Amino acid sequence: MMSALLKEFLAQENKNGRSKMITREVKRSVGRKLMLMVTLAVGIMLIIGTAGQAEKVTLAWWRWTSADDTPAIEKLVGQWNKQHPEIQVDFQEIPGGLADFETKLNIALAAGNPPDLFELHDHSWHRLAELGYLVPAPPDIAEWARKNIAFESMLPGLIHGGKVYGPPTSSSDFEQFFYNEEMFDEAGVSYPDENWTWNEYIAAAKKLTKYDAEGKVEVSGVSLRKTGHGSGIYSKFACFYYSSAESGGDIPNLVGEDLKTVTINNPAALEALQLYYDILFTWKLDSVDIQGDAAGFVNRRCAMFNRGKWVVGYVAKNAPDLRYGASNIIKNKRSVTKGSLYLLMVPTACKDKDAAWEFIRWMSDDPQQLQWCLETGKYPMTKNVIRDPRWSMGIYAAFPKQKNIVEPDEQLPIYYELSTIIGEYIEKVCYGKLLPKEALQQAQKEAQEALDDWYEGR
Amino acid sequence: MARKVTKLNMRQKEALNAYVLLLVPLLLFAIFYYYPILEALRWSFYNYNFLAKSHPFVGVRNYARSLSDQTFIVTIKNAIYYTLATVFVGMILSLGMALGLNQELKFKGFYKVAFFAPVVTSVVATSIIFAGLYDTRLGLLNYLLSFFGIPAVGWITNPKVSMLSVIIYSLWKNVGFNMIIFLAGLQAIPPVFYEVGKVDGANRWHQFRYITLPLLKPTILFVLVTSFIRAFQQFTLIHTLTLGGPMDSTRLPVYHVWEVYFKWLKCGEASAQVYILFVLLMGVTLLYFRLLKTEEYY
Repeated sequence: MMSALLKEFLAQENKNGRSKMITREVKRSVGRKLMLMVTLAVGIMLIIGTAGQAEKVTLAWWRWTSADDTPAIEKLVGQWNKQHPEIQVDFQEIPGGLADFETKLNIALAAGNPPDLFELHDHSWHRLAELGYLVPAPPDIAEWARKNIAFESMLPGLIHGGKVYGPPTSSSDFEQFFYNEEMFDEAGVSYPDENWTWNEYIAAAKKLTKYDAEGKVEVSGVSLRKTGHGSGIYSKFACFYYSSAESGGDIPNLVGEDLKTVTINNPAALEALQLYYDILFTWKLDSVDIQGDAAGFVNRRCAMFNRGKWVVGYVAKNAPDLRYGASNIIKNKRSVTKGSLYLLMVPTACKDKDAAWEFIRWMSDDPQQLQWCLETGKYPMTKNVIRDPRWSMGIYAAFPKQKNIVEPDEQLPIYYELSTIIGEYIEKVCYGKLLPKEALQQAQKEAQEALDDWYEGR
Repeated sequence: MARKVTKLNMRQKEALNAYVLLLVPLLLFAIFYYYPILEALRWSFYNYNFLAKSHPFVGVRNYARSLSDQTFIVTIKNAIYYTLATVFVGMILSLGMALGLNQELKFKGFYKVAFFAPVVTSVVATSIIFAGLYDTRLGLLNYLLSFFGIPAVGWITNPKVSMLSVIIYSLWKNVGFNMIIFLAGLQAIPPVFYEVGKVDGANRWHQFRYITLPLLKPTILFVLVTSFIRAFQQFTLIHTLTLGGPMDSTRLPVYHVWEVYFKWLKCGEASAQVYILFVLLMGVTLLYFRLLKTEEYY
């Protein structure tokens, strides 16, 4: 029998339990409502936030390492990003030179995660266009590029399969002839002009070359591109090669019109390669042991050489007191130089192609191209910018006089590989391993094999 | 009728646990190691360009072409020269250093650190420094040679000398590593053998010839095989110092394969070259094992 106290205690507990239960119920009810309100609030914030983010796109722009160009480009990108919060560009410098950059880009393209924008040299973008990795430019940009490219003979370099793939950037260039005025004055040789032929060129080089006590070349009268990347060797050789083609005829090509037959083993190429051989071994006006190229030029190790106009910025930085001049590529039968175009392009995997082209429109515009050229010393590639009087003064005065700037291999998908193969055989001639004739024969055979591989199964 | 449930015994349970635990690493190995190896073998029979959509079957053409490719043959010759020099000269140097450090010496710790320090440095950073040292006009080496009236050498611009320059760097970089291994091997030889040898009238040369060398054979074999494989796999140094030039004089097989694969996108041909190298390396390794097979018992 329960005691009265116990009964009272239990009754009290029961009462407490019910009130606790009631309290719990109330709490649960309030809690549920609170949870619901918080969830709704968070959901609304997320939707607003996501909706806000969906309007903003960030495009990744990859480019190779370049101490000259990167600061200027970063500045331009910063300006764009300030003005266009809805389209942000993330400029990323990929460590290494152009060759390393292209390797990384190819892998990214194959893996399906390339950047949204990149600049590419015309010796390698045609392959990507052929394989369907690139988007042709919108009609307005294509039209603009056709009308505004500064040198019309370079226009084919923008085109593949009849379509323009991007506007030229200020990285574009063409080979020019540079000479050290101080050395010319010292040797009593008059400066080169448009009338110079290979005869005057060699005669001057013979007076400008200096030898040490053992008869080895100490300062080269003319510096050829003898070593390094094969395609680089070929592009400098191409100036001599094209200039050896009969005047009035077509500029010789690496391949025939069908783009399937390698034609490098021809009289014009042989004449040009023979000149290389004679400069190095017959007349001894240059040597593989001499520092050449732009570095040799600023260190006064060579009197003359062919190189792109980026040399102007390089000399200004490394030897600002050097007195030098520029002239046309020395003619054999004619004066022809090799152009190299860089295009700002959009891959098919770009996350927002319209935004990417919008940025490219802005970058191609005159103020931006002018700013890029002024800050890097690069020469403009668009008509309006090149009309600025700055580009007709001083060292720049010679550049507009260079006619016949060619991009003859614009449709060739594997131009880079073929030019590298040929460049490597030119290097063998420069090192005395092969004679010009056998070098061209072997180069043609190997290049044909590479071209056949490309077309196999297509 | 009820099914009879066989319970696993303790041993079987342990084995099952082991297999389950091994499953994940095996899977990772299969995906990231064995699958690529087998896929590369498949690619070696195709005209395979990883950017292209179609890859025609070409049979053994990639192998035939590689075996007749003058550049690939040059890389094999370069590799033999490079390997013989770095492995054998390196072994002699590192064994000598280990023998020296196995004596009672003051500042032994300092010498160990000094010789081992190059091993832990970055190949990229040090090869850039060496490129500066080797510079024909401004390099320190030619500057020092000028004091002796020796004309400047094109350390990495002259094809006749450039491989020697690469070998010098490799010796500097790796000799410390083998020294440590030899030192460990020397210290594992029980001193009692030398004591007995002394009692029998053996001089230092006899001790080295008849005690040290035979008992060091397993270490020598290990160093030989690992050095050989490491030398044949050399890539970073070539990529940063010489790019295989001038005139392919420093082009080694792995660098060449990398170029064929990533620069020329000829994955099929590169894969064939990889398998040719694999057969070569396997053959040489088996030869080493056969030559140094006998164990020494005292």
